[in-house]
Amino acid sequence: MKNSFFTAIVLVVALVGGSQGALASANPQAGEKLAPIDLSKASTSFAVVMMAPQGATAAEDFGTVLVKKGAIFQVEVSSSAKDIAALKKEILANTLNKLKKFYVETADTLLYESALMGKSEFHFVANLKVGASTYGAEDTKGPVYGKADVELMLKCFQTLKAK
Amino acid sequence: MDNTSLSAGEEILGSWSVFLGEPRPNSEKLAGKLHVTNQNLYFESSISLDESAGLLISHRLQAFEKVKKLVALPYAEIGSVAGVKKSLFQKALAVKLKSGEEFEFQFGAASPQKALDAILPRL
Repeated sequence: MKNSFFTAIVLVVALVGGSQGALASANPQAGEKLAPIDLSKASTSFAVVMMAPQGATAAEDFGTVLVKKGAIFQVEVSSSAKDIAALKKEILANTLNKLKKFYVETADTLLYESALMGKSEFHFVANLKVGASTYGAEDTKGPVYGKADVELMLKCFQTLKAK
Repeated sequence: MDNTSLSAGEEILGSWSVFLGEPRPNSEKLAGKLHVTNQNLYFESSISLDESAGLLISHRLQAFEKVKKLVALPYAEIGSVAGVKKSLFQKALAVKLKSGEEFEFQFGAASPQKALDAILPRL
């Protein structure tokens, strides 16, 4: 009887753990587990959810929502579209942080490598239509991100969907 | 820059307020501190100003963006450094990397000589 009780407890724990694990999807790119994060909890004007590395937080930040985990996952989501064409011109004209290469170059997404003082860093800017609204996103400027870091940030932003 | 950014045995020999970019209006700038240690040269940025900053300031609009970044350059990557007189009151420290990349730290009216003296024996 006692053994059955403990077996039942172990099964319940395993099942609960298993269902939570199923909610979080594995990211094959960086081995990072992803979980949904509700941006409306940070700001009511963002009725959307997106996937982000487990443990990421969302906080309102001067009209945007910053989804962050550690120093190298920092996505600033805005509730309006970014002017990708204008930003592309700025990137091309930047004489300090010089463009090395666009890895993704479409009308709604840029993922690029630039170099400051000869040191490479990667960035992204993107728009995504969710229902009738278009959301924009970019990495927080400052940290030096690697290519896999911004690819993960972009991939997470592209999971944005209505609540 | 705190000591946690330094490696074992590394010590700061001097720090100067500088900016990257051309010392003229209508040019983008990245302002911060240049730290010279016995192992590396660091640039720790604090704010960036775009080329229309002057116009924005005159209209009392925010003209800068906070950009916290720490770029380290080991001396092994540096080809040469030299003091440059940009104008009567503008001096700079020109850095050329072995990769061919060149840039200048603008010192304004201050002299880059002490930074130069700290760097040159380590190249």
